[in-house]
Amino acid sequence: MATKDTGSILSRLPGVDALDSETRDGVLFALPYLLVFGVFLLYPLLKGLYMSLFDWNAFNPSQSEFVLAENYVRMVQDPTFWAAVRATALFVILTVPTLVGLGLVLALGVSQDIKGKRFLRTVFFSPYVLTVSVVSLIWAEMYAPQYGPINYYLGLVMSNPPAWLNSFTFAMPAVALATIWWTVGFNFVILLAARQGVSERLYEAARIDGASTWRAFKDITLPQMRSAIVFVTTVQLIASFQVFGQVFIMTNGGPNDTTQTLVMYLYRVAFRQQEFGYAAAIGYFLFVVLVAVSLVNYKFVGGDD
Amino acid sequence: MARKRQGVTPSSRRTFIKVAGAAGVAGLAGCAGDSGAETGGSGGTTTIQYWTLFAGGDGEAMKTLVDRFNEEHDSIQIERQRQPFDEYYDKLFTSMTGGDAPDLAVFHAPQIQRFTDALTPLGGMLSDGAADAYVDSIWQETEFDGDQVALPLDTHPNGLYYNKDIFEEAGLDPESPPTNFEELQSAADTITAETDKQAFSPDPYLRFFVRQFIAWQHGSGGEFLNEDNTEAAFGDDNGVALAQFYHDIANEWNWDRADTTDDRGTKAFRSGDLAMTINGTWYYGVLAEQDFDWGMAKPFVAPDQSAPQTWANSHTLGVPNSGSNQEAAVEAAEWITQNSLEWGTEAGHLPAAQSVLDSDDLRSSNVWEKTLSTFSDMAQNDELSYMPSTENNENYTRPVNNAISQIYSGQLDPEEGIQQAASDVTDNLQG
Amino acid sequence: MSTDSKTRFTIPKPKTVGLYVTLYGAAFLFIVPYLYMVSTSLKTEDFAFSQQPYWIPPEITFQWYQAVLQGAPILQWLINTLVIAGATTIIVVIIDSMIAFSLTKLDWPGKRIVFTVIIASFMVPIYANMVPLYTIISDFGLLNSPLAVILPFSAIPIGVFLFTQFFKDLPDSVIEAAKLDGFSTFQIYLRIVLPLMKPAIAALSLYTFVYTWNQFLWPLIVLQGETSFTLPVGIVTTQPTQVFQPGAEMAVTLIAAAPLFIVFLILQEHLVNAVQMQGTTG
Repeated sequence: MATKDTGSILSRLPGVDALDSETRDGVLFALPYLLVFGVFLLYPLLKGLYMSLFDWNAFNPSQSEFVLAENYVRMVQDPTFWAAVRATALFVILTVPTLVGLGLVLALGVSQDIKGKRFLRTVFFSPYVLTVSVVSLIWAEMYAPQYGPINYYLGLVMSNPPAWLNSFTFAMPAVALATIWWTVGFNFVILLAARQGVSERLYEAARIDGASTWRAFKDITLPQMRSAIVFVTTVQLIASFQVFGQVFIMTNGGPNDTTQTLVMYLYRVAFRQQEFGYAAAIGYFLFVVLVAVSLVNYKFVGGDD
Repeated sequence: MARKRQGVTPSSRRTFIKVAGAAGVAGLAGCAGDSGAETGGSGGTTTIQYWTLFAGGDGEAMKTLVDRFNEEHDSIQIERQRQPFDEYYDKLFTSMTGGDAPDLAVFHAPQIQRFTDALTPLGGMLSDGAADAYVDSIWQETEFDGDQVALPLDTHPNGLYYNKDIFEEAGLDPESPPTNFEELQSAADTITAETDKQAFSPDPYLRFFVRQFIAWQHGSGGEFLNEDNTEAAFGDDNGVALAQFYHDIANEWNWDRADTTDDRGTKAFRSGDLAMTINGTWYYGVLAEQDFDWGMAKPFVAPDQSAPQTWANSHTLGVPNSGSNQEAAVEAAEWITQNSLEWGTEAGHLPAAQSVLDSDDLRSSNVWEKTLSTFSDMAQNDELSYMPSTENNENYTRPVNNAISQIYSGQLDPEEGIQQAASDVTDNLQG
Repeated sequence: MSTDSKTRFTIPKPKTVGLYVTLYGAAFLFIVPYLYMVSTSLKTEDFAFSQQPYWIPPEITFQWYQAVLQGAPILQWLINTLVIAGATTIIVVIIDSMIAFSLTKLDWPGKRIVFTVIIASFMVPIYANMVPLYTIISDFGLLNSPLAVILPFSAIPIGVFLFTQFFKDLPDSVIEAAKLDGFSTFQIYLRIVLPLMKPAIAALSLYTFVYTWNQFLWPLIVLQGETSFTLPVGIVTTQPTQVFQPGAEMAVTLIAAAPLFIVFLILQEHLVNAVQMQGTTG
C-alpha cells in the first residue's frame, strides 16, 4: 500500500467498478462448487422431502399420488422399521465407544517411548485403506462355522462355539468387531497426533507436583485432547449410524432382521420393494437423527471450538 | 453377492465349475443352426444388450450359446452383460425406471408378473408356430393375462443328491437312496450313528428354504397360498408339521448342525462331510468336479407325502418395452431358447424346447443318465411345484425363509414361528 | 523427554514390558486377518475346505488367481475405479479450492450466508439422500456413467471446510502485494494461493481419493452393467461364482486390496497427515 504507482492506487479506490470486479470474481470462483453442491446435495435434500409426501411411482413419477404424512405414519407403525432402528442403535453402542476408547488406548500406547512406533502405526492404520467389501469377505470367512479359523480354535477350548453370523446374540457383535478392526486406525492416528501435540512440559510440571499417572491423564491428557476426541466421536457416530456394507455383505440383515440397519432397510424399501416415497421418508428420518446427534455432540461434549 | 439371505428364486449361479467335458460339447456346436427368420442386413448390424444372471457352469453354457448365435448371424449381434444374482432384479428394476433397460433379459418365471408393465407382449413378433416349439406346460408359465411376455428356456427342478461313498461307509446300499420319509429316517439315523458325517440338509445354501417347503406343503395335501394369492395358507396343520420336520432335522435327530450360516451345507456336501441334500439341476455341473461318487433321486422325503411334489422354476427370456431393437431381441430370444442343447448338456437343465428335449444328443449324454432322466420323469408325472407369482415375491419368500432358518437353527418354536410367518405373509400380500 | 529417561537403559520396568506386550499383541491380532487372506488364497481346495486352518498351506497353488483374473473383468474394474476416484479428486481439489479462496480472500455480498449453508450441510449424510439423488441422476440420464458417482461425491463439503481453515491463515498482505503487482484474481489464485497451499491440497487429494475409491453402496446403486462396476462392487458380484471356493474368494479380495494398499505403504506419511489434518482443524 506504500507504493505510489498510480494505476494500482486507482484500482484500490472504492469505486463502483473495482467493487464490481471483486464481486464478479468472488461469485465466479464460488460458482463451480455451488453448482455441484446445489444440484447434487441441496436439491436432493429438498426433493427427498417432497417425495416423502407421495406414494411415488418409480416407473412413472407423474402418476405419483399425494398422500401427505401417510409415509411417516406408516413408518411409525412399521415394526420392521423399529427393528432397524434398534439394530442401528445396537451397532452404534457396540462400535462408537469401543472405536474411540481403543483408538485412544492405542494412541497413548504408541506415543510412549517405545521401539517400532512406525511399524505399529502402519499395522493399526492399514485396514483403514481397505474397502468395505474386502473387510467383510475376509471376516465372513474367519467367522465361518465349520471351516473358519475362529471356531476351530474356540472348538479346542469349548464344546459348542457360537454360530457367529447366524446367531441372534452374536451376529451384531461379530459385525461390530470386523468394523473395529477396519476403522479404529482412523481414530488412532488422529488421537496420536493430538497426543503428540500436548506439551511435555505439562506432564513434567505434574510430575514435580507428585501427580499420579491417572491424575495426569485426567487433568492433562483428556482436556488437552478434547477437541480431537469430540471430532472422532462425531465422525464415528455419523459413520456408525449409516452402516451398510458390512451387514449387507456379511449377514444381509439376518438372522431374522436382527442386523438389518436403517440404511439397509432404506435400500431394501427403495430398490427391492420399489417404494421410493416411503424410502425417502426413512431417509429423512435418518437425516434428522444425524443432524440432532451431531448438534448434541458438539453442544454437550464439544463446547465451541 | 455371496452372503445374502433372500431366497428370491433359485439359481444356478451358485456353482463354480470349469466346464467339465467341454471338449465333447464343442463338437456339437456347428449342427444346430437353423433358426427361421434371418433378416437381411440392410442397415448393417444391430447389437442387442442381453442381461443374464448366470455364472459358473450356467455362465459358461450361456456364453457358448451366445457365441454360437453371434457366429451364425451377421445382422444381429448379442452383447452379454452378466449381473450379480442377488441384485439382479433390483438392477433390472432400476435400469427400467432409469430408461436404460437392456434389449433382452433373463427372468425367472415367478418374477415376470412384477415386470409385466415394462415388458413387450411378444404375440405379433414371434415366428409362425413358435408356440408349438416349447413344452406346453412351461409355455403356459410365461403367459400373463393372455399375453405371451417371455420365451421359456428351461425347467430346473430340485432333486435329492447323495454321497455314495458315505452311504457305503455307513453300510447302506449306495444304489438305493431313500424314496420316502421312513427310508430317509432310517438312512439318516444310520449315517449319524455309523459315521462322523452330517446326514441330511434340506437346503445346502440354508437360505432358500421356501422353495422345497412349498413343494412339500403341496405334497402333504396342503396349500401354500390361497387360490388368488391374497392370503397365506401354510399356517395350517400341514405347515406346522412340516416346520416341526425342519426343526427336528437339526435339533432332534442331529442329522445336521443347528446352524443356518449361508452356504454351510453346500461347503459340507462338496467337501464330503454331508451325505444328502436337496438342490436344483445345476448341481450336476458342480458335483462333476468332486472326487466322490454321487447319485441323485426324487426328493419326496418329507413326512406324509401322499401327492409328492418337488420345487421347480424356469428361466425365461423377456423383451423390455423401452428398447429400440425389439424385433431383433425377439429373434435372438427365439434362437437361444430353441438351440439350447448345451443348456442341457453343460448346465444340466431341462430344455424347454421340445425338439432339444427329444434330441438324441441330449438323451445319450452323461447328464441325461445321471440326473436329467429323473427330472424329466418328475416333469412328465406333473410332480413339479412352481412358486406363486405375486406383485413382489419377496413378500412371501422373505418371511418364510427367515422363519424356517430360525426354526432350523433352534432359535424359534416351529409352530409359533411358521404361524407368525403365515400372518406376516398375509399382511404383506394385502398391504 | 527428560534426560534421565534416556540414560536409563538397565532393566525395563514391568510397566514397560506390559506396554510392549499389549501393543505388539494387538498388532499381531491386527495382522491375523491378512495372514488368513493370503494363506487361504494360496490353498488348494482340499486344504481350503479343511476344518483345521493351515496358516502355511502344505501345498501352494496360484490357480485361484488365474481363475479370478480370467473369470471377471478385474482390470476393467480397476480402471473404472481409478477414473472415478481420480476425476473426483481433481474436481474436488479445483472447485473446493476456488470457492475457499473466494470465501476467505474475496469480498462479495452474500458470502457469509453461502458459507453458513455449506458448513451446515457438512453433516448431511449422502445415504439419507440416496433415493432423491437416484431419481435426479436417473433424470439426467447419468445412470451407469462414471459421472453418476463423480458428481455427487464432488458435492461433499468437507474439502471446502478444510481449505477455508487453511486459506484463512494465508496472510492478506501476500495477496495485496500480488494485486499491486498487477496480478488478476485468477493469477493470484493460480500462482500464489495454490503453490502456498500444497500441503493442504496433497492432504485433501489423498483423503478424497481413498474415500471415493472405497465407496460401495452408491456405486452399487447407480452402476448397472458388469463393465461399469468399480472394484469394491465388482469383487462382491463375483462371489456367487466363487463362493464355494474360499481360495478364489480370498484371491479376488487380495487383488482388490492390493493397489491401494501398496499406495498406502509408499505414501503412508502423507495419508496419515491427511487424516490427522482433519482431526486438528475440524
